[in-house]
Amino acid sequence: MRIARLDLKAFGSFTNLSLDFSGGAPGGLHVVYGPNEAGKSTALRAVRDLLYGFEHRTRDGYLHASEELCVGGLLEGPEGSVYVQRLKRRKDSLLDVDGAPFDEARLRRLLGGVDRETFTQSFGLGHAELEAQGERLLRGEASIGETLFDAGAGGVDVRRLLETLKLEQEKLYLVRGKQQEINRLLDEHAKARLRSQEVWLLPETFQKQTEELNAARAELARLTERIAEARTEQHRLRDLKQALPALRRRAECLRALTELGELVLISEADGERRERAESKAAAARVAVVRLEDESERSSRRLAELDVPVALLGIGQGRVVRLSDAPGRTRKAREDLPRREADLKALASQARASLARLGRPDAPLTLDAARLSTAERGRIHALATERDKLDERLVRARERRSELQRDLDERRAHQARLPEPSHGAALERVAALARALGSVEEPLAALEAEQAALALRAEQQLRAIRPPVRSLAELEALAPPGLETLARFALEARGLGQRSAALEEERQRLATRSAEARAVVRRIEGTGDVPSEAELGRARVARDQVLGAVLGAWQGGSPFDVEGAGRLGERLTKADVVSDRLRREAGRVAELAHARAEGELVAGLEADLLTRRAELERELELHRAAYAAAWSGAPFSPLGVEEMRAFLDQRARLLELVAEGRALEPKLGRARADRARLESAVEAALGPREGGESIALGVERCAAAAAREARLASEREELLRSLDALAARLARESRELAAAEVALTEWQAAWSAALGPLGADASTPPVVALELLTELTALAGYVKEIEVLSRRVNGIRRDEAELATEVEELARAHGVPFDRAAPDAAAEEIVARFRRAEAARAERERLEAEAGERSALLAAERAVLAEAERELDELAARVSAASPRDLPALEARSRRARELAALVSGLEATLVDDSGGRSVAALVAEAADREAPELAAQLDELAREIEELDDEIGRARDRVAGLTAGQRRQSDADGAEAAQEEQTLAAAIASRYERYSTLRVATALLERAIERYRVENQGPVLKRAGELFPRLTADAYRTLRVAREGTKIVAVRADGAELLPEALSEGTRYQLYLALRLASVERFIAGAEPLPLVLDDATIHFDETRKRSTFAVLGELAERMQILFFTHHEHDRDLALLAAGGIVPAGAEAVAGAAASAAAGVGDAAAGVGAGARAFGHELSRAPGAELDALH
Amino acid sequence: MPKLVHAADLHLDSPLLGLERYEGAPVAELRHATRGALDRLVDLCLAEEASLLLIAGDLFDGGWRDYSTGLFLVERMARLREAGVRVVWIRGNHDAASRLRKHLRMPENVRELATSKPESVAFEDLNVVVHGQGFAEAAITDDLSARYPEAVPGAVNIGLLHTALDGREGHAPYAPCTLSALVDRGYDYWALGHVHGHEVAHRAPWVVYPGNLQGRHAKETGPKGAVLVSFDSARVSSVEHRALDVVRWARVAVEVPSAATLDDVADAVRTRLGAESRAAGERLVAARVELTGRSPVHALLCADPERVTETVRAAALDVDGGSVWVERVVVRTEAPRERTHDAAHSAGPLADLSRELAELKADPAALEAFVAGLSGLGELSRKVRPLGGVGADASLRPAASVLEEAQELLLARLSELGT
Repeated sequence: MRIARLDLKAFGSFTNLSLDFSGGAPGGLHVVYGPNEAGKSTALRAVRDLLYGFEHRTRDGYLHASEELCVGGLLEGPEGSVYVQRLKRRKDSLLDVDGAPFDEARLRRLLGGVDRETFTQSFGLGHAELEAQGERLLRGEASIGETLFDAGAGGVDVRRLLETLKLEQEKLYLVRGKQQEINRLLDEHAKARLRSQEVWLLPETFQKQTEELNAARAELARLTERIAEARTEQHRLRDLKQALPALRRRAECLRALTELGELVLISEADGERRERAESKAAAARVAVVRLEDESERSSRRLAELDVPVALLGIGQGRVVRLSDAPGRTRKAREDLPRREADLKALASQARASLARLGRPDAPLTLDAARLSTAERGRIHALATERDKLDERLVRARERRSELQRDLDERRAHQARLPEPSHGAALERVAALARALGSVEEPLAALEAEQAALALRAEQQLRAIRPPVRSLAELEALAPPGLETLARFALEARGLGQRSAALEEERQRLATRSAEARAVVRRIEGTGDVPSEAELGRARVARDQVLGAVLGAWQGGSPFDVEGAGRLGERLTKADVVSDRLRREAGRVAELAHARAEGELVAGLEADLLTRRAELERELELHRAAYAAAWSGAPFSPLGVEEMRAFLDQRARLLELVAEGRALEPKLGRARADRARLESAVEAALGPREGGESIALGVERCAAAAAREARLASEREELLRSLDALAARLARESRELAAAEVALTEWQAAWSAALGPLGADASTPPVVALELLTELTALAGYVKEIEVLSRRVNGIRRDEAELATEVEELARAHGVPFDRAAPDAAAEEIVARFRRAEAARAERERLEAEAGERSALLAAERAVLAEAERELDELAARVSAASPRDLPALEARSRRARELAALVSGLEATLVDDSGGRSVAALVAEAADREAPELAAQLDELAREIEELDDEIGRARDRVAGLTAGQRRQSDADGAEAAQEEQTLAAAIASRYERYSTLRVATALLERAIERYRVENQGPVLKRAGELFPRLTADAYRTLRVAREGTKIVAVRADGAELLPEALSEGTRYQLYLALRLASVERFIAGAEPLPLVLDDATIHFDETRKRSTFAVLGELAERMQILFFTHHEHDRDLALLAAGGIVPAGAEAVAGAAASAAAGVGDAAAGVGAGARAFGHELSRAPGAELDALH
Repeated sequence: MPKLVHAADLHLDSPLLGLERYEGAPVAELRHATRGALDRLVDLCLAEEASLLLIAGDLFDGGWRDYSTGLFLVERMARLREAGVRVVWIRGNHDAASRLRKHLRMPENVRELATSKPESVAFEDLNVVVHGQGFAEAAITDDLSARYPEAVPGAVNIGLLHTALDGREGHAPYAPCTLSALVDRGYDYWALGHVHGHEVAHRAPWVVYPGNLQGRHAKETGPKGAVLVSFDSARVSSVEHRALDVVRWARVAVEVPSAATLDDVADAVRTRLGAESRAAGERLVAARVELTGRSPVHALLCADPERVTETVRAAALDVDGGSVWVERVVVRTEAPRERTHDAAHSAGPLADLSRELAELKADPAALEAFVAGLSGLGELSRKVRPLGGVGADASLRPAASVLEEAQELLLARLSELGT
């Protein structure tokens, strides 16, 4: 299979880039040149993705969206060609030329069953791989088998893989290892198994543990019982020991009681009774003596007292009056003259008042001054009403005259107002003006706009270039379209760019040519240089002589001395040339290279000239077409850009003309409006004066209409106010009449009201009110005179009555009386009465006290008798001879009681402290027991209890331990241990599986390597041995297996054998390349060849070896397609020359192809003739749109 | 309505197989799983106020290595006694009389049926008769049911039997019998044991396997538990399975067709395991994760299975508080495109390697010989086999399966090197 065309439709940085690889079938060496970053690797990936589909995560989807990625290709196989395209999607990613799904199986058949990995590895060779494999050869670790395997599989480094696999195995397991995972886990598993056996609970163990537990529990019960007993005994003894002192004290108390002997016990209460009786008797005796003494003193005082009974008969009431009277009479007597004077003054004032009232002779009584309240009120009310009536009359008269005046004035004004005129015409003008708005300005504006447009059109017409005579001519012109112009511009630019590119290329070639010439001159300047041709010629000359000599010998000719000499000479010359060639190989190579470069450049320059002539022809055609496009114009066209400007100007000018025409209808409408308004104004105001505008006429109409409206409203207002004034005047006249009637009524009432006052009807209200005030004053005087007269008479009467009473009493009780001074007698009578009263009071008190005292005396005497009786009774009860013996008896009784209480308290405490034992029992237990003895027994018991406590603790621990053990027995220790074993077994199993996989994989790989070696070592090494001398330009003779049998050695031209690690870097690359090419050849010998993709695979080769390598590739390209990617311009040219040199017929075409490639066109090899086998291509990231325009 | 609980195959205190410990794995929840399940069984009896608990064999996993297993059982049976639940059990092949001789005194509510001949026990208050016979020795090949007595007329008759009914696949063919024979016996309910999956083999009369109480390895997936049977004086009215397991085993297939990195794989695993864990409720889930699908990460997964396992386990730790234990990770993915390498038409070392593999696959004898001849491997296999359980499984893995994995590993590594 080969690729006839590769279309990078949307891939990486490329859009619609097409590479034509159709030349050179069935093989063809296609040299694709692109500078670094131009996308060589991208193109390589495009080939792979086309054939095998996109990777899930592609690196080439950065410019185009992932779903838009597309690469297509025309593939040629044994059964014909087919076009396929590949999209990045999961299903139906492979399509045919029409976009219909294409069967993957068909493509696979075309690829001869080679899968993606094999294609990538076996049919791709990059610089990186060469470097890596060269490095590997340098390390010299790989065996022949591995080296061959690597070369066959496309540089996989199978040795490293083997090492990794082995390392992973060794990490898992080693037969005698300790630290490896499986070794370690096996060890842990064995330990876990042991551990689990330890934790198993065997039935025998369980039985034994159960028995031990029962025994321990019994022992614990026994010990618990014993300690309880000991503690009881300890309590008993401790109680007894504590009770001993109390028991002793109790015995002492009982003894003392016995010693007190027989006695009648006297209670505390009896003792207290006795003491109370004794003190009561003593107190009673003292009281009797004191009372008898007081009684005697009182009797004596009574006998001494005298009480005058007659005097006391006067009575308390009279005595009090008598004692007050002297002071009272004295004050009255002093006031009397002042009061009499006051009386006199009042009488004269009253008289004067009567005189003012006009009744001087009237008596001074209250009747003379009396007038009823109603009468007074009536006079006051009428007086007030009269004032109001007067005011009402005045006001009514004033208002009526005022209204009358106002009415007269307004009537006069009404008579003065002008008559209304007519305003309908004026209204019509206003309505029309409102409807039409302003008519003059818009008309003027439209006219100005039209004029301006005409002016601008005229100016622009004058400015247009090339010039045109009139607008009509301009309108009539039929210019070419803008797109046509754009096409001409694009063509012109393309032609210009091509011209510039050709110029640039010419300069580059000139530089290269000059450089090559300079090199040739430099080398030739250092003496002549031997050449292969010279050597060839020397050898031909030598061979001619040798042939002649040999021919002569075969023909039996005798030895020809001259011939021999000539042969010797020619031999020497050939040797000399050969020696020099070897010695000066560097110079020779450099000169050859420079000359080759010179020739190459000369060829390229010739091609350049041809292409320049072609370009000139295209330019001429372009110009003629452009002129034809403007035929019919009244001028000859300028350049495209200028004519674009002309068309722009023309378009703008025609727009102006159209704009002017569009104004006409608006102008017509504006003029008609103006005429209508003008005739309306003239109808309203008459013909206008010259120069007056319509707007002014409209304004005047509006002012006249406003004035007319104001007058009409004033007239209306005046009529309304006249009506209102007339109505108010009528109301005020009615009011005045009413006021006058009221005045007549008042005068009648006033005459009636003044009657009681004694004044006539003509008395004015002010005077009448004064008379009323005087009458009130008179009434006050009369009332005062009456009160004062009554008081003076009373004082005189009281004085006389007192004197009479005092005289009577004085006579009756023998008190001297003087008529002139009755007060002294009255005082004496009162004093005597007070003394008699005091004597009577004392007698009554003394008599009462004597009664009380005799009762007290009797009571005290009774108390004394009772106390003495009680004492006797107490003494009798205790058989005492006398009450005096009682205190001693009471003291003995108290002592006996105290002792009994002490004994009882002691016994209660003893019973409490001994845990309820009876006192008798305690006494019995304590008999003959002493404290020290008890203490010793207690110490003994404490020791025993302590020991028992310890024993119980131990027994408890034992029981607890055994119980815990029993409880644990139901725990799953054994099951857990078994689980642990299984967990470890699982870990071992998983690692064992991993180990077995790795082990088998390693063995398989080793086996495959060996098998490949056995099958391929012979043929591949043989073919590589043939290729290697050619790739190294005969510096080496062949390749073979080293004597020890596991390594490859390179055999130098001088026969020396070198291991790969001893070779120079470049030679190692060539060794690997030889092996790789031999493997590929072997591969395609038995299968369908696929394109071999090489990427900068000759970078580190020297010039000579590059040349020979390209020659080898050229040969290989006759059988299979080779896509050689490079970023070295020189390598590209060298490859084309070296490969093409083998087929002279194609050399010129190759040069042409190379030159086209340099022109920057995506694929310029399309025109290369049949028979060539090397083709140049250039990668550029030219955008698709531009490509389309140029094609 | 009276109820009884029918359980079987408790395998008390037998370990769970295949769970290797790793950092963060929920170890504590793994312990005592079979005991936990028994506790739940007891709780079920109490909660449902069951009158009777029937255990159809394999109460124990074998001869006890540890007496505590028996003590634990006695404690739980005593709990049932307090609640008035009576228990009838028979021995199965695992706890056959010959294998498990140790005597344990059970509380009086527990009744073991004879192993020498069929025995019947009547519960008059329930109008129930239970017939059954235990295994005298592990390998019983006779049909024990053939000698079971005739049904007692008027009572609910229950047959308690440990059997490989009709030779159930994957189970040792002990005490085989046929479904028709059981159906014809005239009993109302056959309480079977031995098969570890729950199965209702027949209705009216009922022939029921409750399945085991707790799954013990990756092949025993899904809910495990006992059967709750309601009956009245004449017949069985309802049968329902109740999940009682503590650890739930699951095989979780995770599709990773669009994963491009291990992180993507981890995300997919997390989502699937999350769903699995939620379905299992509070239980610990022991999951075997199988990565499937045609996936871009296929080569990555094959190249370093160890890292893949670590990644999946780490992802599992994020699931619902880490209640998932990843038993193992199986890579079953395929390359994104079919492998187009046609050995017959291709050349080169890789083609040779493929041919090599194809030839070995086609010739099992050569493959066995090749694997057996590998130094170290045989020796290790002899150490691993005696570990039993998963160890034996691993050492007995078919050579073809090892070869398959080795091939994936090699291709993945070689393609990694080449690109």
